[in-house]
Amino acid sequence: MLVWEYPPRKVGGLATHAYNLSFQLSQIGAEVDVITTSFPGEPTVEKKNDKLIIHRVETYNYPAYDFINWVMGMNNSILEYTTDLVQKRNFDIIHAHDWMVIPSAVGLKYMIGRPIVYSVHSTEYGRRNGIHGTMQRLIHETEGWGTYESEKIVVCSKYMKEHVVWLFNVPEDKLHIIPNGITEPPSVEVDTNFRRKYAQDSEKIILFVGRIVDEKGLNVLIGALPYVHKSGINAKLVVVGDGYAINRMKEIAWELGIYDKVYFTGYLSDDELNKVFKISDALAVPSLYEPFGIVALEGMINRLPVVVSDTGGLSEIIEDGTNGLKVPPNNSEELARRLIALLSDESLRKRISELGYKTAKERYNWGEIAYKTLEVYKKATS
Amino acid sequence: MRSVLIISEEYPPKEIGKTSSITKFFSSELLKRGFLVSVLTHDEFNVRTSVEKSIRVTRIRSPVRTFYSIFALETYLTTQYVREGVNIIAGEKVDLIISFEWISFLSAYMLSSKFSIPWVAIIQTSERERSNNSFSLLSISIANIERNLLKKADIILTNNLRTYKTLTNEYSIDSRKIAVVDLEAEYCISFLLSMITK
Repeated sequence: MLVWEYPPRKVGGLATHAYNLSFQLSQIGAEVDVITTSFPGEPTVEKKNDKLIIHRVETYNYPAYDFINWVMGMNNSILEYTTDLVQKRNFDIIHAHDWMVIPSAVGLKYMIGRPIVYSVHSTEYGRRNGIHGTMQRLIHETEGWGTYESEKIVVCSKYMKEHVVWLFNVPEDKLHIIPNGITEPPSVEVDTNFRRKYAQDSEKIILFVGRIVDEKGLNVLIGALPYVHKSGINAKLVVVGDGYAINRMKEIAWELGIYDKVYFTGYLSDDELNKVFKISDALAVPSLYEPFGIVALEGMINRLPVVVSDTGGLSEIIEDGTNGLKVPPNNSEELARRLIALLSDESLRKRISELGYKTAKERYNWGEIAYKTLEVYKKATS
Repeated sequence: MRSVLIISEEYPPKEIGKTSSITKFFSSELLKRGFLVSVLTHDEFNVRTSVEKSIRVTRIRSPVRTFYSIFALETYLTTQYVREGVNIIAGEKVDLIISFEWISFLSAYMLSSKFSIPWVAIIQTSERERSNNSFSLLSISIANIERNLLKKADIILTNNLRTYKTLTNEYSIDSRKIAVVDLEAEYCISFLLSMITK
């Protein structure tokens, strides 16, 4: 399994995904070697259990002046490392996660003659709403090349399947939909003092968790807050995460006169975030583009009622009015209307929380996902 | 020993530096000595396999057409050299791999390692000399490719003492496997073959 981030290196959701998938695959009998990048203080080779080995490849041999060259250096390092590894071990499948490891996956494919299964978690076209520059074009082409070289492609939603078929002209039967999974967090105790770190006792907490980039639609959520206040609900928006658009988001909050009602926390540790889920009253996922929407599941597994944009994978997870609420994307007024409905009706909040929890627990468990992934491996090798 | 695979970024008619003519010289001389010679090279605008004066020449292109940097190009070309190299090796028993300059070293190493074929690396100048010790990040990366991979080559040929010194002093490569020879002299080929036999 090739993946550029793996715990403890966690930048986006990919690390958690790769960790859970590799672990669960090892639990159902697959022998998994994860090839990832080095991390300070972590061993180069770590045996997690009898069937799961993590290889952290040193990437600093190839210092880079920008992101693309860093990726290329990483691929060089991985190919060098795996050339030695495949002399000692036999592999049946090369599972590549996202475009960043595609050159390594293809190099390995031809060297050992085994098929690639390519998990397309998102596309450059989707992330940036089009292809606008040289760097993006290279990423887009690499993604397309990956779909061509792969025997099977895994996507997380029906939306992504249609998107990948359209974008790269891939035959439909090459694609398999396997949703992302969620694990139940450890139970934690939170008290009033902890809550007071984030909001006053009189304030309801609306939570946003994610990278602060354009496609996540945080500006839409900030724009909804004045409507919520106008309805008489005293609410605080807690924004967890960071990203290139953070200063613009702060400016929007300032211009709307609600800067004191939006708390930008930056990145939080898993433990802290887990507690923040517990003290919040609603989770908003106002994304403009969302291949899957794992953050919605994180809210649901924490029994937090969610309001999501009716877009991408989110549309498939949420059944409006049952396990969450859906709003048209990029519409602050409508988002505010649904948040007001949730925050002012305790029984609705409770009902949606319980059904959301049930959905997350039953439909998105990693054991099931690992089993489906193994089936795709079998198809790729047959 | 009957068959040799040569990997080189340049081969006539593509000619940017001296590599093209040296590659041509090696392939012709080995052919004269009874070798079956296959050349793998890069040409974005002329992708094909042809037999040219009894030498099989396979020209590949990058699977990603956007040129971003030489480092990115090297990564993409490596996959294609490996793909075609595996095909060639599968079709005939290749006894020796010769690769020219840093851009072909990773693919040569991968093929050599996978199929246990001796690998001769040829380097006219190191990145240290080309960049005049600039130590830019790109230059460090290329130098590290040379350093890491040349350590894994079985034999290294260069044509000047300056590069020899860089390889031994700065890259810490075992001097016993490096030879300084005129890369376009006939004796160079005889010398190489005698080294391989040893």
